[in-house]
Amino acid sequence: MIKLRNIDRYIDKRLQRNFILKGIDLDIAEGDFISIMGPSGAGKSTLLNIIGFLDDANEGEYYFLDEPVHGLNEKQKSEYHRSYIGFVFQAYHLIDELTVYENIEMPLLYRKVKGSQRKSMVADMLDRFNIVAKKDLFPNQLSGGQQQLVGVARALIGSPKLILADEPTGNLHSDQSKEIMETFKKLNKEDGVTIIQVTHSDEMASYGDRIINLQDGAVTENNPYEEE
Amino acid sequence: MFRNYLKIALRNLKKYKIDSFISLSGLAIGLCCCIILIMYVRFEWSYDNFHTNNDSIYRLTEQTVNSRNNEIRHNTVHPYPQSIALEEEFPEIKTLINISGGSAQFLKDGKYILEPIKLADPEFLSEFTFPLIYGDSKTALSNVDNIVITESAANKYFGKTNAVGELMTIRLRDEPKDFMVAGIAKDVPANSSIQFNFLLPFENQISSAPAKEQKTLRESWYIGFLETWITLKEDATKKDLEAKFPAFLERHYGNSWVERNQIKYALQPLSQVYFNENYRSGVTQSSNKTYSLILGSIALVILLIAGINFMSLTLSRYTSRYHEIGIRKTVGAIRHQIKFQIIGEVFITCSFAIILGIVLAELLAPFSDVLFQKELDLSLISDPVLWISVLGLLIILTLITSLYPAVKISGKNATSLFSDDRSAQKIPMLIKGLIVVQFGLAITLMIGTYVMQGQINFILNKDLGFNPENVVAVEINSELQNALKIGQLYSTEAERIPGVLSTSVTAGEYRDFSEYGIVDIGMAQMMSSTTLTQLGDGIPSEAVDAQYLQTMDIELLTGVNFSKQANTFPSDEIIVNQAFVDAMGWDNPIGQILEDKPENQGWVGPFDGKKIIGVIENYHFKSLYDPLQPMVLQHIETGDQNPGTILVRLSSDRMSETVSNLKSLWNSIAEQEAFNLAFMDDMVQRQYNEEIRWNRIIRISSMASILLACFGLFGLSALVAQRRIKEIGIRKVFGASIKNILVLISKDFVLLVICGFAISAPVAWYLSNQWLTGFSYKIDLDALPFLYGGLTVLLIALTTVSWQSVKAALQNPVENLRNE
Repeated sequence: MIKLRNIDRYIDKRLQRNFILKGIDLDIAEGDFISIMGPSGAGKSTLLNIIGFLDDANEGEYYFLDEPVHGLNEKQKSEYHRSYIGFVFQAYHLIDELTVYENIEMPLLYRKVKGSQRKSMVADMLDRFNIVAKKDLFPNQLSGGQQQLVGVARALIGSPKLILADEPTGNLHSDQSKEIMETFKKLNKEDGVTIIQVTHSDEMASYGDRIINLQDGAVTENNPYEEE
Repeated sequence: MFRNYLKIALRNLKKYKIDSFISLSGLAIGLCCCIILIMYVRFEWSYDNFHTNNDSIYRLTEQTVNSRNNEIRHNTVHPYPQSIALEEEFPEIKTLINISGGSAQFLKDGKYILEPIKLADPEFLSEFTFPLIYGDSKTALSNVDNIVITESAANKYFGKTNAVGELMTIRLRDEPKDFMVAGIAKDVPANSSIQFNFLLPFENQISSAPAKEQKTLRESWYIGFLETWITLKEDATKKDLEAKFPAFLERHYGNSWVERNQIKYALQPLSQVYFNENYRSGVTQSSNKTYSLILGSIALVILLIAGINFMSLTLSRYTSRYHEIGIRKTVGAIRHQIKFQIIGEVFITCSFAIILGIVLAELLAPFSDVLFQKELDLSLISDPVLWISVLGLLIILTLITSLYPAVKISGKNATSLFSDDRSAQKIPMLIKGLIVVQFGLAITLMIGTYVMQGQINFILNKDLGFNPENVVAVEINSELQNALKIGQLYSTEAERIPGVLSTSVTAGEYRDFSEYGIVDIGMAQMMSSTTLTQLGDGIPSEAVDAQYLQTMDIELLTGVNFSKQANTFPSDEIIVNQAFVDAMGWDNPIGQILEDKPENQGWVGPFDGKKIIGVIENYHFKSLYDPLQPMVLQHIETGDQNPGTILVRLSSDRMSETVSNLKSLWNSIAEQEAFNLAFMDDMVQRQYNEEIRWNRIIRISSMASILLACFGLFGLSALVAQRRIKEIGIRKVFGASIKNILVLISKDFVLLVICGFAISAPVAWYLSNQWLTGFSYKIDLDALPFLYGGLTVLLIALTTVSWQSVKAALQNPVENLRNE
């Protein structure tokens, strides 16, 4: 599904070039559940952003479903965002001015889904995450875990093939984290959704099938657990 | 989708209540001011456009050059026989209408009241668009004994609108005569340069004169007393007719006369009559175009300031919405959708503000005449120009305001939108620039206000050489044959009234028709020609009696005053002012006998042979626009001028009682004459009405603009304080005092105001200087108004900003930091 070849991401500073990612090669198949780990500043989030087309690599090739991403224009990228990719963020990134219902509904608006259909899709999602009672509340009226549930619901409403989660549980306590991870696991197993998450916690990483370790912008270990 | 945008827009408005209120109401207030000012400007520019024949009516104008000093003279007054000749000789003239203006006395309840009148040929009503409610336009003025009055005049005199067939007793000169009301005209629109309430057939202008004078008026080509208005036939053009005028002039006036005076005739279209400064006329009103242009620019400045507010607040608010836009991008919003959202939101808020502004203007419009002293017919709702320009404004404002954030924000990718949140703490350069412009404009207006105020105070308090305080002018009809007798009798009797200090009979007409917008201080209005080149164009003179100097408080420098009865032997005595002596270069003026008799011309100046018995201090008998001039006082008994006014100096206490005594005295002496009294100091002040009015308009607009600018500053500082709240919290935790925080937030803004001042000072200096050149007596432009203007604005701005900074500084840092 995802093929990265020799990806470089750097920032030029006067005489010096700071590499955030250097020579990344990575293959991810459909149905994988991957955890990216590594210390702060290793380039985990940057890698995730590049995979999610939120950021562009400076060098290298990126194929998404065998389509070269480096050749896509903005409109095509948006098209992929709508149909294939869902994002979950550490900081939830809900829109403060919209209610839970409206936040979840938003991606459908960009996809021009009809009103009645939208209603039932959002209702399904609210049901699935047990947040029907909260649908008219604004994000700041929810706890962190609930906000993240809304964030996941929003990511899932477009039934994406790929979910990118940047430290989805970073701000949550362990019970909430487990709930989110169980949801991911279920999605992965039952619906075959590909999941890539960035995490610091070994426990959270262990929900995945495969772990990629990043250090100083390079992959140091590809799936350390499997070798054990 | 659109509903989602609308929702976000509304919720944002609600969430940022203060900002929204400021940017909305600021724009609304600015627009409201702008609409009212522009309406006034449009009113000024709409003069005479209601005439259906607007483009085919012309006024005959004359331009001559004074051969002595090459001064160009402009004149609209023409002799009677010329009108007849024009009509006979030029078939391209469709109609020729003689019009003149003046005043007449109307009998009402046993008393004669002076009213301004117009006299015009019968075709006046059909060629100009002054529709009659009752009566026939074609015939109403064709009988010499008819009169046409307006609706409001009919109500005033007859208590009803349909007064056709009623009789009015009118004194055009000395003799009363009955006129029959033959038509009731709709009230003349406020934007007509020809105003009238009473319209008489032109023939009366001549036939009311004594028989001998009538003959001269009818036959002399050298006495101008009427304005010639013509309409052209359809195939004739103004240019062709004008080309025939030189030959016409030569035929009737002779080559040498035309050449010596360099006479030129031209046709002035009706549409150009109102905005012309050169041709002063007793028939039409005119105004200065620059004032309406200034007002228009002020309107635009206010709108600009309000627009800048709106822009800078909107712009800076968008920087705090990067996050939301970033999320939208990650769920698949494409660039033009983001753009559309931003533009749409701005459009919605903008429409709100504009609707609010129009409603506000509609509510305030009835009070606008307080400001302009002119009644405007503001029918905003039915005005298509307003709607088109408002729509244009909406589109322009929306595009200008939203295009920059729309393009800038939608172009960023999501990750930078998430991380750029922090850079939004600083005010973008563009907004800084806008604030500088805004304050530059506000300070310019403020300085202008101070300069104007200074100049007006200077004029109103300037020593005029006479003391207008506590002097009243009692009107006397100079057409009365026994005017002098009545005047002297009244004067003598009035001095017996307690509270009257002195009285004087003078020829000047001090008329206060404020009701009609006419104030006339007729001091020394008689202009006599002279051949003494030292004296310039002519000698202004006034006929007075022996008590004039005392009543007016004018100082006699040398010589003696007039005696009670005029001394005419061996020659008439006159008193001159110091400027006269200076102009003649006399060392010893007393006893000089004026020689104003050029050799071999058989023509004698009116002051030839008069003996100078006294010299008075210069006094400003004209307004301060005009420099001091040589002038002459002559005894009222020797001149050929009839008295027009009795001046009475009152003591300052129990003034109203004295005035009512003056009234009853008048009623016992001149039973039939209406009693009209005006206070001299009021009249002197009204000469500068235009300046006072403009000062008020500029003061109010500068206050509005400063208020608006501060609105914006308030909103921006609130945003900045809000955004830097974490920084403020950290600083406080590490020991910053409230004062430190205040300085931290305020200093950027103060710097901007100072930049604004630096830009505005030279502009204000230039404009003030330009305005002041119109006065002969003016203040020196020093640094004070600039200092005041700058400081006022700085102080207001500082107060505005510190409001927010104090609020931010007083907050508990723990709470602010916990949020993160």
